Amino acid sequence: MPKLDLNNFKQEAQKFRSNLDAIPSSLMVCHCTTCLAAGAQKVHQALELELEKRNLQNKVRVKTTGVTAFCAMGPVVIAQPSGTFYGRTRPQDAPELIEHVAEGKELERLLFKDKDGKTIARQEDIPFVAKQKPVVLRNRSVLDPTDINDAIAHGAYEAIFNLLKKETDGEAIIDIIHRSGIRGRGGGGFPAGLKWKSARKAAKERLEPVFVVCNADEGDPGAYMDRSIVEADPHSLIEGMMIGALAVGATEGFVYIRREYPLALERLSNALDQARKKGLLGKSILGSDFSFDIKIHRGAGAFVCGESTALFASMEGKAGEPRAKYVHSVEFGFRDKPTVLNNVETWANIAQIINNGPEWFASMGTGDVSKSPWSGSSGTKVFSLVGNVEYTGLVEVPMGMTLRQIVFDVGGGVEGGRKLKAVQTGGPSGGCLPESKLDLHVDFDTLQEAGSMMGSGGLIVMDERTCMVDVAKYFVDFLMGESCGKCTPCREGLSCLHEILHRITEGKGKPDDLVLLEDLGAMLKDGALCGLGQTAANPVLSTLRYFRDEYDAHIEQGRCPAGVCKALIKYTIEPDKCTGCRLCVKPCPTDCISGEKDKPHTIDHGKCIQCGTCMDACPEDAIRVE
Amino acid sequence: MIKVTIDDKRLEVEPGTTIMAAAEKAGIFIPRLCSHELLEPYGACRVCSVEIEQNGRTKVVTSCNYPIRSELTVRTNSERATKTRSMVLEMMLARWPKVKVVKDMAAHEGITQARFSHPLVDNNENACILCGRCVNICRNGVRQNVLSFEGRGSSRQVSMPYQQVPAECVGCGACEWICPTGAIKMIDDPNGSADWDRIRRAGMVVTRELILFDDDQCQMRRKGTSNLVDVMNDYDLLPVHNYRFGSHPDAKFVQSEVFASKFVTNGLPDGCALGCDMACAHAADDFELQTGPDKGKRVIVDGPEYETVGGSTNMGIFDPRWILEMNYYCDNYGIDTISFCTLMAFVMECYENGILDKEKTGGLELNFGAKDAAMEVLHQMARGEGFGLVAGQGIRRMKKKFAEEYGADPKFLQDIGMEAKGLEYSEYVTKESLAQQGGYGIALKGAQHDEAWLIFMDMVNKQIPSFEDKAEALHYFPMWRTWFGLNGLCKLPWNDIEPEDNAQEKEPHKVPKHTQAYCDFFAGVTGREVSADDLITMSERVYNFQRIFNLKMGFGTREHDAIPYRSVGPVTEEEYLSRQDRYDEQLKELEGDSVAGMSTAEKLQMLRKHREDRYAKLLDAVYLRRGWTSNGIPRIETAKKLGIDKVDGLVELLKEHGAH
Amino acid sequence: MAQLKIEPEKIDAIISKWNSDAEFTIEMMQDVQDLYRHLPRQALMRISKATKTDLGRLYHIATFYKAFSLEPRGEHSIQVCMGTACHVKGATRVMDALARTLDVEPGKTTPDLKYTLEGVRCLGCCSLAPVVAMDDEIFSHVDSSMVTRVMRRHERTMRERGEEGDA
Repeated sequence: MPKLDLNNFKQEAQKFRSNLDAIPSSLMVCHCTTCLAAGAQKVHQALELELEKRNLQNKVRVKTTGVTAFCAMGPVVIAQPSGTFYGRTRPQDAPELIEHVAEGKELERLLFKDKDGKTIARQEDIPFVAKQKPVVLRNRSVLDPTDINDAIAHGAYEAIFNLLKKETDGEAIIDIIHRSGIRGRGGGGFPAGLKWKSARKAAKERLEPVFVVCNADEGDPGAYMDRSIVEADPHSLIEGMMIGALAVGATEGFVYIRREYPLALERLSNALDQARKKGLLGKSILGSDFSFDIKIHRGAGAFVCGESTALFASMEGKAGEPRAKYVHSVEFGFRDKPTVLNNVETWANIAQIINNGPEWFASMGTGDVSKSPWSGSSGTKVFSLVGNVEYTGLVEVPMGMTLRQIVFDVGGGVEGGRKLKAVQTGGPSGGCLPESKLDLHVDFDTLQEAGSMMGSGGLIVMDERTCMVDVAKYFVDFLMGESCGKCTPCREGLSCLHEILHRITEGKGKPDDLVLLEDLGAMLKDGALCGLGQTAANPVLSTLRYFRDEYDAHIEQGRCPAGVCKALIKYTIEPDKCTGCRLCVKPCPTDCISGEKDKPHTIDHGKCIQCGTCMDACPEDAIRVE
Repeated sequence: MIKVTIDDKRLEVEPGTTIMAAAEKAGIFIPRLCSHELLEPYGACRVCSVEIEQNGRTKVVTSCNYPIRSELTVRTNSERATKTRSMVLEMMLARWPKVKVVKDMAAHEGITQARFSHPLVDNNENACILCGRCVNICRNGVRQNVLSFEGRGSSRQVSMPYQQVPAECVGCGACEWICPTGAIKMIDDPNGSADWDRIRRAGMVVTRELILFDDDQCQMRRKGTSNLVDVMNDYDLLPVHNYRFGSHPDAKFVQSEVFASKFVTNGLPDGCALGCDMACAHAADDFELQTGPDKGKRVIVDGPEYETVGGSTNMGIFDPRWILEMNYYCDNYGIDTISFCTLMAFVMECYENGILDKEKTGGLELNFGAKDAAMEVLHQMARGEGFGLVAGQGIRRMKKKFAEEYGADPKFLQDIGMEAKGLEYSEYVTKESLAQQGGYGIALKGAQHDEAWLIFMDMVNKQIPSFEDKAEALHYFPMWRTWFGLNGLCKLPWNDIEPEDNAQEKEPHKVPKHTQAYCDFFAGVTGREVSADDLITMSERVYNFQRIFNLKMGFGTREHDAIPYRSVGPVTEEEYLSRQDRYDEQLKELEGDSVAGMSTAEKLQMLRKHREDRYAKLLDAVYLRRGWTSNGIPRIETAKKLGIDKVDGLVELLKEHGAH
Repeated sequence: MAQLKIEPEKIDAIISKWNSDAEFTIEMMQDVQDLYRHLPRQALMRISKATKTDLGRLYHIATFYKAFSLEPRGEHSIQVCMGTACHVKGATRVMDALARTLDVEPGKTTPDLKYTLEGVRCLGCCSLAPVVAMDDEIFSHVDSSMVTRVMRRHERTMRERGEEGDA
């Protein structure tokens, strides 16, 4: 692989593009974790085999791609250049698919059908996709994340090339980033330009090295945007970090990535190796005097390491315990040196801002950030839209879209047409917003005022069968397992919160408990050491604020309205729905269901342990919860 | 200075001052639990939470670690601050209802019973409340890394790896001492001491000071005794070129920082004495040898201690790698670095004066600074060949040989051959320190500093200015230091770390607080109450007995307490001229203006007479103070007073030598 | 897979792979964990010595991060995703069913060292919720009535892979 430099970069990029154009059609097989789990690898192999069999390699190529974002439809195959979307493909579809694509036709039976049964061929016309504005995910369905040449052909490293070619000064780069108004997408929403500026200043003043770090320890349950970006377009992250390094004067960068993301880790390591071989990382990048390289640190399973100071501790080879941030980590961060820490999505935006200009970025989103990045939320945001929603997947929309638009227009509304109860945003640090708050604009500041937060972008739709006390308990339980245990409020507070919530879900709650929950919540907010603890009570406080009646039902009537809390529910079989198919009988762990075949069955409540297995097994929806 | 308002009290503080420190300055006490004067702020218990207001925004912060960097208002008892504090204490009370410190602090906030139950309630009175003090003092205070946390969240606990006491634990007891609940108990009771607790409390006096002050005082923990190189060079006391001079510009190449930062990289003590919080003995690791039988090996070198570095500068060698190499081979050959360095400095001066030449050294050019040749002599000494056979005999025998066989001037050799009682001098220039001259001269074993290291208190701290002070010091300190030897203790923790208020003591050079700690230590071990004077008496008994033993072996009289003139004053005109202002001044004070017209040789002679007289007077004074005759022999009544007169033949021996 | 005899040279190779760099002790420990399914005491001692990191710190790390275990984990890991999306779609019921079937508490290993059952935070396959990962095989839309079937399917996958490996 020849090294790239400032003289040959443009020609080489052109060459890669021509190579791509040599074969007219491509079948892009999505190789994201979700599609792979659904069997994408086998589909891919079948397609290649078929291609070979028919000797059509010069007409069609089968390519790996990182993410198609419409995860509910996996394994997804997209035919390019037409952009035809084929969902839920199987290996046995390969012959037909190859045949149709080679002839420039569509394979009708695999096309997407909307709720009304209307067939939609092109990916871009599917409502889930059509309403989106891909910036970070612009390369979805087109780019092969395992091949740097493909990335360069699609514009990767153009921004850093131009900056180096023009010998752009670090301050000038920071100015561009600042004017774009981009704020950290990891949850905090701190303006990136300001962060970079402080780091550069601190390093200059103290004559110390400065580091750029990428937080890829995406830990919010129900959020997988960062994983998808790394899997689909690792070079966008690398290039962003290079630009950051050039701007602040760093020569060393680190990516801290969850070990639970093996595919992302593999794609990133591979991309770094390729970039090094191309002369895009290491000493004298592209023949300039800019040197920079990136190392990977693998997280070992600790949610708290998403917290900057804990992340640095972990990178230094210690247990991930946060320390006070009264002295900012941008000044005293990794190894006590100035450190710029941004998350994957933030870094992935940087090259686009350089390429298209800060005004372009600022034109998307809310508020006017021309004076200060604090006065709005510019750009787009990627959300993972999951839970009880019709279409699940990654959604990239301009900041400021309402929750209703996202859930209903993009996501197709609640699954099975059920009633929406809440939308949970911001992970364990966020909150649950009720139907009445769906017209809120999703940006950094609005959600916070409503008692939730945008966080890193998890958006979980909850329908009427969700118990909000149980959800609060779920998050407290999650955080209890993830608290580092250093400070008293978080360590003891979460235990106490959990104890009280548990009592309520058991029907043993007392009216005073709600006061206690609020007191503990306030104490955590003011008293905890780090962000994890300070926001830990948000799910409790937001559900108390918007769903107090559910708490009251548990405490005063000993009833779980959603039918979730085991101690308060009873499963019964509706005789008119039960067909006596006996599918529920075998899985029942206590053998408490009886009846004659083809006749309605009954549950022996003396033996039932409320495990819910029968309800999961029933094909007729005949099991009722009371 | 920054303006702060705390609970309506206004004050100004240095930037970076914590709110807690500022509050203390204003006389306001903020409750705390994990915070302790010996520890860096940890910010874990959150009991010290206060509310601050800055630029119109308010928030709750922990006062122990919040640095004041711009103007702000602090309220220690605002509603939010109090609520946070009370709730934290209420939760702790729910989990540890029987722990006294928790109960007391909660009661102070008006809480006697938690409103809720805690799933992990622990009714132990001495439960660990996870404040982390013990872990922090172990790791950052005494720097032992024995205790650590284990697990996370609600399963967090203080532990030692695999719940076993690791070999590194020296039982210093700092963790038990700092624990606010009594959760840590030392189960060790070494050798059936009478009062183990008292011993550890005495030890904590020093431990506490080491943690708080060592980094600002001697940095014994980081640098060890090599910290003295810098001090001695600054005070003109670092031997250079066989004690002719007391400082050298090249000393910067071998100053303590060089060793601490470049060679002693693992930061660990070498394990000289397990249990020592000072742990001043270090080791250079992964050091590659350049010469000798182990050439090319990568080794660990103990040290270098001050004497080894000072000995090297004494030879005019300022190369840290050479020093480590010499240190290594001396250790391995079983040769004392001090003796080697001092005798080589003598050899070098003889070589420069023509007393020795290449023919006599077997072809080695042994000028000052000749490091390769000096290293070769070391190897030859070990192999027992070449010039090593000559040098290896030490200065006393070399003097005899050089005079008898090479026709050198015996008087000159006597002046520059730095030994007393046959032992080579250790590495201090004593010309201006009468006390240290006596320290070297009278010492029972010969010219070593262990018995009376007075140079620091004499020349750096200037704590014994008068002639009487010095004579008294030459009685007290040799006895005091002998006491350490009697008890198998190291003396460095006695005065290489000092209490913060030591300077205000009546006799700061004795470090009275530490002397008391040793009395407690002795009583703790033996169960016998002792005073500081008792300790001296114990030593006097042994010391006098040793002196009498010397006498029996033919060494214990005044003539054996004589010292080479190089340690008293300038021997050569060159030496005189190098510090001419100092010497002229002193002569003028003694003799008046008549000095002005004299030649250097005359002045040299005059100075010598004064200084030799002064040394003689010092001996008289010290002997008198010790209850000895003017010939340096213990009087019979001294022996009786100390109860050593019953030893067979002892009184007769003393009588034989004119004692009465 | 049954790799439980501790070979010091393998541990040393892992340490050298990370250049004995104390900042990469966590990575070394992950590699050791992958190799032996737990952190043998001997491995921690060797890492401690080579990286000049005190054992206490390593012990804290070993008990702090979820990836590590001081006791051998089962030959097969069964991870139930406890992410929010999976939770609202019934992951708790799936976990209960697995615990009942294996007769082991979540977070624990079966006495025959065959399975370790654990809840993990989001696996990032929320569209497939509820998700169970058995070793590296991901099962989607699992409900509590399916667990026995899913386990049997995974056993078959493992058998097939073993045969491929033998051939």
